[in-house]
Amino acid sequence: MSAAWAAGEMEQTITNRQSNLKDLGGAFKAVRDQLKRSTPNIAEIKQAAQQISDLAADQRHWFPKGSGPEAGIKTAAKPEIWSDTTGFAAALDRFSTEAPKLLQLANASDLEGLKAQAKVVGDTCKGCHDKYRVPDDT
Amino acid sequence: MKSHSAWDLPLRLGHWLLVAGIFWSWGTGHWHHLAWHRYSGYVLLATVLFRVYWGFAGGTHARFRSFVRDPQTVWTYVRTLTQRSTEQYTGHNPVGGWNVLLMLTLLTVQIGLGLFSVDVDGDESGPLADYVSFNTGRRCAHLHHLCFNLLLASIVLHLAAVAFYQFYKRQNLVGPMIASPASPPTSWAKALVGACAAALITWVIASGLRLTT
Repeated sequence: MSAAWAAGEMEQTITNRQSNLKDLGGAFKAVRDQLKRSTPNIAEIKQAAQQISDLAADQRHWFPKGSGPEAGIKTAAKPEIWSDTTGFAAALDRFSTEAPKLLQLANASDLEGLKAQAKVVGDTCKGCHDKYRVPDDT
Repeated sequence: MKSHSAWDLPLRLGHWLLVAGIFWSWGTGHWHHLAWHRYSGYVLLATVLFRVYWGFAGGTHARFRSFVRDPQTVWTYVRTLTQRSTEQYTGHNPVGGWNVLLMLTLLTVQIGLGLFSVDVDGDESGPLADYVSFNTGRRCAHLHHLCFNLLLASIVLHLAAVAFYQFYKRQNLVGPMIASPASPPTSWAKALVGACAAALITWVIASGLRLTT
């Protein structure tokens, strides 16, 4: 009974994590889409940056022990997340430090700063994914 | 060999641009150099646009009308395929013509999907990806990957056919594409108009169809 319950909870954890990460991707895409335009919509960037900042702060709760491949549910999370806890924590830290700067720059309507920071934030996504995520086909 | 002048200069140039572009796109896609991948896609887009235009405005053997043949002709040709003594075709043979159309179609679909694709981080995307949601962009990226394999399969068919003609039928199809002098286009003006139009359309798409804002 309790094992089945735990498995169900893990499934929920993984589904929530995937949904959160998709929201992050979507919000980051919204920032990037605006920055591609010659006259970006700052209000939309602020809204997306707020969402990125909130999700980044919450991210350390998304990877409880047991929510890796051993849960038996399809996940791209690598076991290294739980074997290299220091490295993974540092990667999450980098993201939660850099992400709020996007919001600050959006609030200051600093477009050039936003473009540079979007690249920094994108690199933190990529840096973590390269190490701790099973590569996608695409 | 009369086939030597079958492929005019724009057609040959286009062909080798496609080869280089597809190869470059594969590498930059595989190793996630997506800025380069986009540029590579633009070169391919312009080349495909020109090729389609040339299929209507180019010389005899470039025209779709000359090499996309009816099923009866294709079948008749298939039955003589294993005979070594058949006369060499000038231009695309009836089976090859259909594979050319297939490769061009897959390449067009492939480029179209790339325009809307988004990478896993929402960081890099095609020039038209801001017209679709993150999830749709991701779906396009997955289909972009799938379509590449189909394109590769059609290219393998093309290469296998060239090898078959070389080694079984003793007909050299590669030489006329590389060594022998290329014939000039039937009209330089038409070629120039097509090249400029292809470049212009590609530029408009690459800038996200956003010329004013």
